[in-house]
Amino acid sequence: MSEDVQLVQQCLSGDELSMRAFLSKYQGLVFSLCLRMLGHREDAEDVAQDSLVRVFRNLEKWDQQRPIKPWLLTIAANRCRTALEKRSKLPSQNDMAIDLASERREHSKNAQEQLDIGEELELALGELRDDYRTCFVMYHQEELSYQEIGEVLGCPQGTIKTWLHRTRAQLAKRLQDRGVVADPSMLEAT
Amino acid sequence: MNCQEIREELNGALDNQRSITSQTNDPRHAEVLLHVESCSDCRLHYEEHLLIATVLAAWAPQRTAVDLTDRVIDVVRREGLVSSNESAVTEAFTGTKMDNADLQEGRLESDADVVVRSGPDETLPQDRKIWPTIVTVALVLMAVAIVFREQPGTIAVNDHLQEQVVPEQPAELFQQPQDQVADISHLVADARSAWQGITSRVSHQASGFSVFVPDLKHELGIPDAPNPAVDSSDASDDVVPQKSSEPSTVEKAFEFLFKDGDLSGTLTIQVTVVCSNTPIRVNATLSGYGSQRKSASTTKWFI
Repeated sequence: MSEDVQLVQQCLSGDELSMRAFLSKYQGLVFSLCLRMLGHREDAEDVAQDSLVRVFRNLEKWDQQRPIKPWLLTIAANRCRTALEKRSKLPSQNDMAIDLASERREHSKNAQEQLDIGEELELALGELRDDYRTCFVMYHQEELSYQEIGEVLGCPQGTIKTWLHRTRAQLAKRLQDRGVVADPSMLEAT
Repeated sequence: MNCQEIREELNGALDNQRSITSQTNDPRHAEVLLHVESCSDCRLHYEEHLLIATVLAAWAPQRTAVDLTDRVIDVVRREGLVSSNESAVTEAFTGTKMDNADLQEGRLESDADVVVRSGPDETLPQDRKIWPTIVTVALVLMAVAIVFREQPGTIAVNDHLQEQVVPEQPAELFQQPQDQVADISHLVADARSAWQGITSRVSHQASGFSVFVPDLKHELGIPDAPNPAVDSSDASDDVVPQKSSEPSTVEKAFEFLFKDGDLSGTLTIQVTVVCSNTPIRVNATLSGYGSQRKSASTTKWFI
C-alpha cells in the first residue's frame, strides 16, 4: 500500500492529524497552480482552500491505482477556471508577473545570478497565455506527463505537446528580448 | 538529419530535462551540433534551446510558501468530515482507531450539509446487513445440496429395485430338455426347501430376508410332496429367515446340476426383495450348468 493510499484512507476515516499531514504535503502544489492560473495571491489562497476542501469531500472518488497529484491538480484547475469565469476583471499580466516574481524573491535562497534568471523566467511566464503557462509549469516544475497534463486541462495529449513547444519558443523569444542569454556553463553534460 | 529532425531532437532533449551541448558524448547530439553550424535557421532554434535549458536549470522547483491548513480544517470540520478532537487525542495517546463507519455516522449526525458523503454513509448499513444474508443463503444451499445428494441414491436404489420387480404373472419355469423334465419336476417338488438351503448356505446377503416360494406344483402338474408350509399372509412383516427343514434337498439340486461330479460350470443365484409395500415380492433365479452343459434355471418366483 503506497504512502498516499494509506494517508488517504486515514483521512477518509476522519483522522484530523492525517488530514493535516495531507495538507502539509499537497497544499503547496495546489496553491502554486492556483497562483499560476489566477496570478493573484489572495485569490489563489481562496481558490486553493476551496479546492482542498473539495478534495476532502471527494477523496473517496480518487482512483487509488493512479497517482494523486494529477487528480489534485485537476480539481484545482477546474476551480481556477470557475474563478476566472466569475472574475469580471482579469488581473493584468504585469500585476501577476510582479506577484510571482516577488514570491520568488521572498522565498528563494539560491545564488543571486540564478535568482535573477528565475525572476526573468517568472516575468516571461506571466506574459504567456494561461494554458501555456500552466502547461509549462506542470511539465517542468510538477513533472507531470503529457497525458496527466491533458487530463488536468481537459486537452488531448498532442495539444499539450504543441502548447509546451510553443511556450518554450515564446519564452525564449521574450527572454532574448530582455537580454537574457544562455549560459552553457550552467548546463550539465548529459 | 534534416532541419525538422534537428528541431525534434532539440525539443526531445528538453522534454527529458536534458540539453545538447558540446560537452555531450551522444553521437546524435554531435550530429545536431554539426548541423547547426551550417544551418542558420536551426542555429536560432539551438540558441533558444540553450536559453530555455539555462533558465530551467536555474529555475529550481520551488513551492510558494502558504499555510492553508487551519482554514481548510476549519471548513471540513464544520462539514463533519473530521472526527472529534477527543477521538483524535485518544487515538494519538492510545494508538487505537475508531471504526470508520462510526466516524462517518458521527459526521452525518454532526452536520446535515454533507451532501457528497451522504451516499456512501447511507450504504454502510446495507454493507453490514448483507453478510448475515450471504451466510444464511450459503447454509441453506449447503443443506439443500446434502439432501439432494442423498435423494438421488435413494431413488436409484428404488429404480433398480423397481426394475427387478416383475408383474404378477405365471412364471416361466423351466427351459430344459425333455429328457430332464422328470428330474426337474422332482427338484421343483421340494424347491422351497432347496432354495432355503441354498440361501442359508451360499448367500449371506439373503439371510436377512424371508424368501417365499409359491407353490408351483399345481402349474407344473407335479404330485404333492411334503413341503414346509409357508403362509403368504404373514409375508408382509416376516423378515426372519426361514430355516430349511430339509437341507438335504440342496444336495439334490447340486447333484442335478453337477451329477457328473465335475464342478466345471458356474452357479448363479440372484435374489431381489422389494419391501416398498406389502406384499413382499421375490424375484429369484437359480441357474447353472455342469460339465456336460446341462443347465437348469428357475426364475421369477414371486408373491
